[in-house]
Amino acid sequence: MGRYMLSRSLRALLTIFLVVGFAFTILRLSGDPAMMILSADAPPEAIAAFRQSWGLDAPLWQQFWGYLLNILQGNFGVSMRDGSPAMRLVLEAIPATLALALPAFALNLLIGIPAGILAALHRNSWIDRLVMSFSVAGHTLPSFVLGLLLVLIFAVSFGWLPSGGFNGVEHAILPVLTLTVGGAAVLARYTRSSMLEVLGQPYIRAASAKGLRWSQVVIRHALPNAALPIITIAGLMFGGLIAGAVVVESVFSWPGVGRLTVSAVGNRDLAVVQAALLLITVSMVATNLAVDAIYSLFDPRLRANSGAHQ
Amino acid sequence: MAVPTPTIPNASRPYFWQEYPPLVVVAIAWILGIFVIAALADLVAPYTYTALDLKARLQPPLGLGGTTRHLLGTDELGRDVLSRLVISVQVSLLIAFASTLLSAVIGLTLGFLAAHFKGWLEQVVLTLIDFQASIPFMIIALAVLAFFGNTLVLFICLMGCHGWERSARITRSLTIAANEQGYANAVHALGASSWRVYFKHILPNIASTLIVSMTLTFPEVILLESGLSFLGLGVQPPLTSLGNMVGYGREYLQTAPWILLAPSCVIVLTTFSISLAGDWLRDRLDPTLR
Amino acid sequence: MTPLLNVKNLQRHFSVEGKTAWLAGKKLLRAVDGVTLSVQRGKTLGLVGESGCGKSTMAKLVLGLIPATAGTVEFDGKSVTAQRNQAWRAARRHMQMVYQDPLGALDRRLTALEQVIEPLQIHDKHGEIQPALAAQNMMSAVGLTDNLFQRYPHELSGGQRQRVVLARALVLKPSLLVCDEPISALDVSVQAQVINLLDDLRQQMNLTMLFISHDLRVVRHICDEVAVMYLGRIIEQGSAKEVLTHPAHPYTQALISAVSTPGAKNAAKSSGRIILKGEPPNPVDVPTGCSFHPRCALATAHCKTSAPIATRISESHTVSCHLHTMIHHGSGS
Repeated sequence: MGRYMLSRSLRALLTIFLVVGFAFTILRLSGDPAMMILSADAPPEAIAAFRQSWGLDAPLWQQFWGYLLNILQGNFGVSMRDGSPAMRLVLEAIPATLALALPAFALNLLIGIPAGILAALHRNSWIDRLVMSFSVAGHTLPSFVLGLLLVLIFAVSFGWLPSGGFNGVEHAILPVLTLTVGGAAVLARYTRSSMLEVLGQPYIRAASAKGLRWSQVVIRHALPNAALPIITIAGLMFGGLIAGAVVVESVFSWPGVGRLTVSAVGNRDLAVVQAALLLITVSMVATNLAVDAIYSLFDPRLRANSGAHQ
Repeated sequence: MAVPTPTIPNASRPYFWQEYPPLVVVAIAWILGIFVIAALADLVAPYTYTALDLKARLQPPLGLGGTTRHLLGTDELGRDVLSRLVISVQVSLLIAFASTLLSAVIGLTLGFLAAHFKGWLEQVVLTLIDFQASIPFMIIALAVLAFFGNTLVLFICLMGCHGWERSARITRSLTIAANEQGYANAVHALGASSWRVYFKHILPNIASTLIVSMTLTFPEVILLESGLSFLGLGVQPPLTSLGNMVGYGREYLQTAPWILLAPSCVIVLTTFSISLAGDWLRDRLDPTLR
Repeated sequence: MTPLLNVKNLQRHFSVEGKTAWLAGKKLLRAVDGVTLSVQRGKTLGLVGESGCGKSTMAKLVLGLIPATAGTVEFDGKSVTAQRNQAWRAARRHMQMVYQDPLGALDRRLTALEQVIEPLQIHDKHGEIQPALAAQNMMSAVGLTDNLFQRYPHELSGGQRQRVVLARALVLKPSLLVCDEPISALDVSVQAQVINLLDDLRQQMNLTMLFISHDLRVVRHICDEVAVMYLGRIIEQGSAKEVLTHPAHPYTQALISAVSTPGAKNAAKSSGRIILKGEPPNPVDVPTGCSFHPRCALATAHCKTSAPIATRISESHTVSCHLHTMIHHGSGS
């Protein structure tokens, strides 16, 4: 377990390092960072000071090192719009995004997993077909279309729910719903495949031949074994939620990290874009690592003995 | 007691619908139709997509109070929605096509390189694959768009970087399998050059798997591109794409919903059809792939 | 007369990373551990042994498909390297291989005829030989009828596929043919046909063959000479007749006793099968001294400590066993 986590952690660090390198590269490739990050009408002393603190006069690797140090201190420069530190803007937007992402994640699990299990248990029945149809629909329906449709139906036609803004729980319902659909669809699909694969295994037949009731077979044998791949997917979904949040927040004018990033991209507010990019990456990598840790706790093959010769 | 005479069942018709389920047939028909429209867009569109007609702003489509002059109504600048839709289809499909192809070529090349040279090159490629797979592409795309701005060529190249890791993974593992003990090894032993082995033997053998992977990437690119265009970060005016239209139509959600409903329907139906057809194709070509 | 194939002290080691060995260092898998043999033009050498003894690795080393860790391989007086360059590819005309799994060795998307034409396309770009004609002639020579030419590998039987592989290997008329367990994957009823075919072709085309197998009956039928491998080393070699009727090494005796046909004279055999004790060996953990000693009923203390050298016990028969070293060189007195 220790070896496995060590290699996963190293991988995670490598990924983060690559993203930092990526951000640095495109920053340097796209023009003069000083001009871009400060602003066009910053005073020359500020530009010179920026140049120095970011080490832009130095050789490339030194620049990268300086960049890295700045990043580690959380210094991304200031936003073009209002001059406040980019990282702070991003951090302030996090709670709003979490307010959408966490309920959506929970709903994904609560809807997607049982739906997938049901579909697998009643394969080729109407339940299965229904779940699969919703799954395909949810997967191919772009979130902005769904969001707008929901707004059209619930806000415009029926007037039950507000169409945007950030003033209370009822404002969150539609965005959360929109975010949920895509993830639940994917989760249902994977859960179904995982369950089907497990149910097809000989040990399931052996278990029911032992005389166990079918429900016992499912709960004691099928589910735990099917759970492992599902855990992995559930963890990966977090990334999908972030990507989804970008669009959903824009549809519903929800002041989260997604909407912030989009407007920053539109304004070429590079400081904010960098900060958002790195923050999102780090949180995704951390989540993946946590998923790996949980996975290794449960998978007896990994848990047993990392030193055992295969 | 009469013995019922056995009748030979009419094998041809039911068999056809078993081979080609009706839904798949409809999906394929839609896809073909969309492709034809995309190809002939300039001929099919009744008006130029930029033609303004300020006197006929926000006209509803036929059936909801509109006229036959504008079958799907007009937008806020009096431009014919149908024409814009047709051109948008062309643009979106063009981008999706080019990007999917680019992504497949990148994945194929890197997969071959990794499998052939092994060593540090393989490690580099594997790390890149991991990296690409662990970050949602939307975020990377946003970063690149922020820094480099947005021209059509750049955008297509960016979209082409989506999904290559799938092709690379497939190519690499299938090539290794072929090289390890199969025909590739034997053909090498015949004295064939590596080029010949890869292009005359391995590539045709993995083509079907790659094509199936491409049917996954294609709708994803459409969704990605329309999402970015919706946010105003994708295809830039005066060019129009499906996502673009939805984005612009958003302001008129209450007053003129047809502006965004038409492109939305096309997006949904197209990606749905391709997913369905792709699934069916996958089951036919290679049931072991899931 | 220089042998067509000359192998000296060939070694091939693989480093293996055991999971526990992550800190302890890598272990060495000695697949081929100092093999010396030679094959005269037109003769067939059989290479026998259990699975894992290194036979397949030998096949690849001899053809230059994998590089050796030490030692030399000479083909027709010239050294064989594993560098996949122009020279190596050109040399393929003269040495070819027949595989254990004919289905795996054929590209499933090409017809039988296309498979056999391919070597001609690779090596004879100027079209001096008419490819289609030469291929068809070769295919007929291996016993494939016309109607099979356009079939795909999965549409052919196991025996037919192996004939296609044979035809493909022989269409350029190589001088050396390496057969790696060519009939193990075939039905028993077909095995005899393919072996007879190989024998005929060998005589017609004056082929030199390295025939690798674990089946001693086949080896007896088709080989002029035999070499017995154990854990990467040759422990006995000589003319097929002599080695297989008068095996000198205990291991060879055990192998023979498992397949002996009634009526064969075997001096060492007393009542029946010799069962080897112990587990089949692990090429990563080669025993000290004589590598066979853990399983040998006749092992002495000497066998545990020192490795035997090859002793010539007759004109065409050498064996690496202390028993024979002592017999032939006296036992210390």
